[in-house]
Amino acid sequence: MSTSPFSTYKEFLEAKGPIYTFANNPTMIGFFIVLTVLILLYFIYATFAPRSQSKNSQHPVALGVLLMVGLSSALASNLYNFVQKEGQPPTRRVVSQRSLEMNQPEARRFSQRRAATPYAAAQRSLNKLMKSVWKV
Amino acid sequence: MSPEAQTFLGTFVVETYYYWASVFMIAIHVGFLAYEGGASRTKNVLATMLKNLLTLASVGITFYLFGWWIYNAFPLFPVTGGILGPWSNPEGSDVLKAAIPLVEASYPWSPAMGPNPADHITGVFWFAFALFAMTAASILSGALIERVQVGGYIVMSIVLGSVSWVVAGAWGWNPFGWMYTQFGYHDFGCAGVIHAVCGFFTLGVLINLGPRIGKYDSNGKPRPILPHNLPLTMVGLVLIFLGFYAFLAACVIFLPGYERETTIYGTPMTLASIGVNTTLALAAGLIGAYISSKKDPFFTISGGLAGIISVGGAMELYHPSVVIVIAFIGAFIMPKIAILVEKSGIDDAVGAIAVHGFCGLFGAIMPGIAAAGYPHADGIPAINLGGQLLGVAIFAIGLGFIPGYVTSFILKQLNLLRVSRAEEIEGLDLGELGVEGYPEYATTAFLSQQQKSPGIHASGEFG
Repeated sequence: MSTSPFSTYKEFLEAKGPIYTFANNPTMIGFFIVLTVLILLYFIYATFAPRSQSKNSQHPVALGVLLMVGLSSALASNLYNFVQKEGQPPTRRVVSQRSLEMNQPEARRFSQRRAATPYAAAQRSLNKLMKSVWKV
Repeated sequence: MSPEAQTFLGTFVVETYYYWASVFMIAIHVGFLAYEGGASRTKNVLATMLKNLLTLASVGITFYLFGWWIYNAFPLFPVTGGILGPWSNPEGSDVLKAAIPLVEASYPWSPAMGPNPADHITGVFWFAFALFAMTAASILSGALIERVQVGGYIVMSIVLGSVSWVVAGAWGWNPFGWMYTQFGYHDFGCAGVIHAVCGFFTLGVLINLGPRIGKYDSNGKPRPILPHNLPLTMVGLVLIFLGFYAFLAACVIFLPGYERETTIYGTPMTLASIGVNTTLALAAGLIGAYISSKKDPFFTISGGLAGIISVGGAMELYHPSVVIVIAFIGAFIMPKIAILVEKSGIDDAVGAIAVHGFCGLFGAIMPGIAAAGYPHADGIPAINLGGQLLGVAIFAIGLGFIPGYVTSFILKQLNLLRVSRAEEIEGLDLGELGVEGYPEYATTAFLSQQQKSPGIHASGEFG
């Protein structure tokens, strides 16, 4: 396969535009740019990888997957609980917390707004997960 | 401005361009000096650096005496004509008519070589080529450290720097060279002409020289001999990178009266593309070696050089994205080759066979694939895989491995190749030079002397 955009020397010598390989084949250039991006991603990944990989359990991919699965699981669990709570009577704990907050109107409003967001649920899950990872 | 002044300005631009490109190429030698010095142990650091420095002397003088003539006299030999010299008849053909003035200008007694306002170009081209030659010999220098005799190395540096690679240059990096005119061999950045020749010359020498004492255990398993100053080695490599930009810029041909920049083969190119592609090859080479060697600092920094050499064959033609992929592949494989060489019992202290030999081979073959079909001048084959393979095989084996092996074999028979066992153990600094590189530090030599004679400093003073 010829990578040259020129068939004769005269054409090559008198070229006024691109003379590089695959100048007449943008698909190939696109392919090589995709390879370049993949090389870069591989490089970035490699910079995080530990030099010695004696234990499979400490492999960054294994650790990453474990963290992602754990986080997703905790998030899903919290979101499920949150959705469940919306349609059910408050538990005794919530009742007691609410009765406590009745005496502090500002704090009560803030607490209600904050606790009602999915973000807060996710943050609680993350804190829980980090605590468990930290213990390990 | 008068027409005469304009003409002279064109000449002065050319003269200045090659002059400064060659000056910056000296950074390669500063780099090799630091690279090898850092890679050696403290007991050998001075001898290692001095040996490298002497390359400038041995190759500088011999390139003046006969190297420059060989480059101009051997392009036709032995395929399209004989060796050119005072015996050649310029009226024989158009090629001879064009080539013989260059041969006449290359004799040591030629008026073109001395101060001569009628010729601003011959001297500056000699300067550039002499620096190429010194670079070639320096590639050998690093691989042999810590056990080669200086005299033996000087002989080998002359054979490599002023003969072997010069013949390769005459055949494959010359507009009259038969490898180019008959087979379409294309090697803009001298991947095969310099790096493959030097890498395989080194391989031939190392087979006869043998490994350093302690490099292999009783089972033949390699043991690491660590560089005494890896940071110095790394700085050295960066200086080599700097010099390579200048080296590749000096590969561009621009002469008085030219309307465009060309390669030595007369094909169009731009200096800007060399800047872009050298930088990207360096970057991708570092990545390839970093990943492949699992973050080994020595291989990673060598990867930059491996990347540049891997694209050297046609870097003036490759698209930048093609450069990245080729440089990455070359540098990724390089550490594997170095380990393979080490396991086979060859002690290459700086990885010259892998970086220059393998990547030179790879870089010279790649134009036959990634730049295949680019036309050369009328009547000369276009870039093709067969031409590239044939060319680099002749360079690597015929002008690299065989001369390296034969020269070192003769030196070995004369007992001029390797220092004695006692001197190698003591260290070449004390054995050859009588001084240490680090006299005020607690080096191994100092401590062993302290154990023998407590209270006596390495300098011999009591206290």
